[in-house]
Amino acid sequence: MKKMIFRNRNQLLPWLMLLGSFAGFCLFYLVPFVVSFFYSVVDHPIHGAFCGLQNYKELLRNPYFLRGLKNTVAFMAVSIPLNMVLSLIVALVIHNMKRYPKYFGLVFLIPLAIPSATSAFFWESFWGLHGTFNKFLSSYHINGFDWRNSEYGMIVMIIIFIWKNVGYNMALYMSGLSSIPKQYYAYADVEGAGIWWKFRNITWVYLTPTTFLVLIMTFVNSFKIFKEIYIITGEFPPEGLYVLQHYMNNMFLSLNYPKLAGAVYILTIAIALPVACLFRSERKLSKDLHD
Amino acid sequence: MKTNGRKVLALFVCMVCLLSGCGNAQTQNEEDLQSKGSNIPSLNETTEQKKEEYVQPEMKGEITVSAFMEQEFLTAAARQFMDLYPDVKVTVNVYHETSGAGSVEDYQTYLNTKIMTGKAEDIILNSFLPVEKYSEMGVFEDLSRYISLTPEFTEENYFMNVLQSAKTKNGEIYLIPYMAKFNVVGFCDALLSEQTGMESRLQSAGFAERMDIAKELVSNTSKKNTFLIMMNEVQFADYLIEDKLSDFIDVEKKSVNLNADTYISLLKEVKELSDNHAFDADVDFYNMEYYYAATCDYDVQAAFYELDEQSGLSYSMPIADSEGNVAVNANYSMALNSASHNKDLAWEFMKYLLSEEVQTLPSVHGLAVNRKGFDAAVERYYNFYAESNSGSVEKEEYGELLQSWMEQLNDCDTVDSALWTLIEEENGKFFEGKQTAEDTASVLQRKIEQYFHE
Repeated sequence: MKKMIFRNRNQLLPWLMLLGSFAGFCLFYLVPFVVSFFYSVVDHPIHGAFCGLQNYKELLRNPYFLRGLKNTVAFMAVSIPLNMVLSLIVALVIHNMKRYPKYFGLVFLIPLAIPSATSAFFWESFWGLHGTFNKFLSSYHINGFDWRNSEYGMIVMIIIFIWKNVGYNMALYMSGLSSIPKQYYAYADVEGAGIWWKFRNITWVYLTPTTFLVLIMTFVNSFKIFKEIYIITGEFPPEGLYVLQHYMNNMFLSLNYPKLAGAVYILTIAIALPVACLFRSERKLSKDLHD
Repeated sequence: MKTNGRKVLALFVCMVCLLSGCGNAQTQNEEDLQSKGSNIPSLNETTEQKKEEYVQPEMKGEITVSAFMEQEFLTAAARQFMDLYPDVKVTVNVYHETSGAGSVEDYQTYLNTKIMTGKAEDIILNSFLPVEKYSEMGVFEDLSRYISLTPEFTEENYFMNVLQSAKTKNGEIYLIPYMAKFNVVGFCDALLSEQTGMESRLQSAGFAERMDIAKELVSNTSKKNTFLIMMNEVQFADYLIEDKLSDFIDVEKKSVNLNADTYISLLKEVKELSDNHAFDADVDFYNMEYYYAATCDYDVQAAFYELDEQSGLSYSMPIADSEGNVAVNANYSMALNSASHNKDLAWEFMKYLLSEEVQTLPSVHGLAVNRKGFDAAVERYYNFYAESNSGSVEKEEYGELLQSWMEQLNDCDTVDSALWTLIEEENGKFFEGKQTAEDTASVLQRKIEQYFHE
């Protein structure tokens, strides 16, 4: 291995450049992550006794942890495909625009530049009892309510998530779209192909690697919605908005590190497994596409 | 195939080890209990058996103290202690002096991180910390043994009822108040003089009972601009809830009963009082004659006004709950970090903070738990109030009154501040008309249940 790295100076450079980032990753993520496993197998954070998988067992029986898990899965199941479809539509529309496509694209990227606290403040005042949305409804004589703390709370959060992330995915799709050779569409036009045929057999096929990347990024980003939910609803949100990060955050505040560490490991497995499968599938599909 | 088989076998062995840990933990816990139990004298033990005695540790090393805000007496005590024991270094880490210091929530996060990394200070001064959760997680050391082994801790030297006010039902003590602070409610003389036959009822100390009397005083008076008490509706509701806290929340059993008619009617009753201007905050204090039927004040001031005939207050008493418990404020107490490597030395400093040398310092802004310190505080506060008031109050009677109040203290308000924050937030929404009483009760029920059982 050593010989292989040093055989060519060009091969050494990437490793050196990665070294800083890798050291940071190890120091701030990997080592604490490994060390936290200790907490997940003891009964108390201080002077704790080894308790095996007891914390994991308790976690899988804890109604709040299960609720967080259920809501996180439900949120992802709805928001990820919706976000991907919408960002693809936006990307296609902007890609085919004749005038000012860059400016329109920029509009969708603005939410990414807004800090979470600012956007949460805006959405809080939008969906609140005396918020803009209810004022809009009242002009049609419809009585509003506090949407954030209602049964529609999850829908509110999905809208916020899509608003925030559609621009990012759109940018990825636009990059994918621009890499499709224009000649393919020209040949298809000559053959008299329709829009749908072109989308299905050219656009979609060549966007497959990008779609996988978008899927992975949306999957990872979907966990970041917690910041907005937390700012809007606090530590104890309504049942429908209670996600796994709430549980972990509250466990940290309660100093219940054994449960916190257990939840982290379960969540890591829940993220790592699908992401690994996605990467594997993406690699296979990309290979097939290139072959 | 062979490699896969080995992997499966290795995984199986790991799983067996981990699962068997559950069984071991129980055994270990039992062993722990037995070893702990060996320190506790059993019923069968005879008096001839060797008694555990307090041995002063070698006064050498470093002690750290964590505090949210700077406290003059603490800094002075640390300096004095280091002068007394030159080989000991006391470092007081004040959160508010650190860069980026923020709210009590931020302090809690900061402290949690330190506790998690094992870097938390040896002594932690409580400031709105989740004491119950910290105790449950084993962050604080049980001080009952230390207290029982310290010969200085006697009724003669200390208000032992205050020192041991945070004792749990199981006898553990995680917090020791270094000064006693409590609220007192008194009645308006001018309104009382219009009523007859109330004397026997005026001795009741429960907040709700006292407020019932105050309501009668307001409704039966001929005077104008008469209000119930000088506080807002959220604070008033807090006191009423605290009065019947055991009916609504049982912290030890982790049960919540806020979604009940009692709580809903309590909220509605306070709202009605607020709508009827019972807590009117728009009083023009300088240009109109006004009367508050009851006044809630802090201990040292309330005692002086109770005795001062010109203050117009009488029948002042420390607020008790419906079961007669009078609680001391837990935010003026300290705890010993169970992960401290210097527990005995830290205990020496805690003892020093409670000693006459420190408790008599003028920077102890409250009633000291040490009797000599208490006398010094009485002297100080008496001089202060006597100078700024023209009434004739005797120092002895002032001291006696405060002492009698101190002796009533039998509880420490260790309910997590997070719970009160939740209650105040939701009740505030109700009083602002943002949600109904029923919704408030239901939301609180859900949130507090989650807080307990998460």
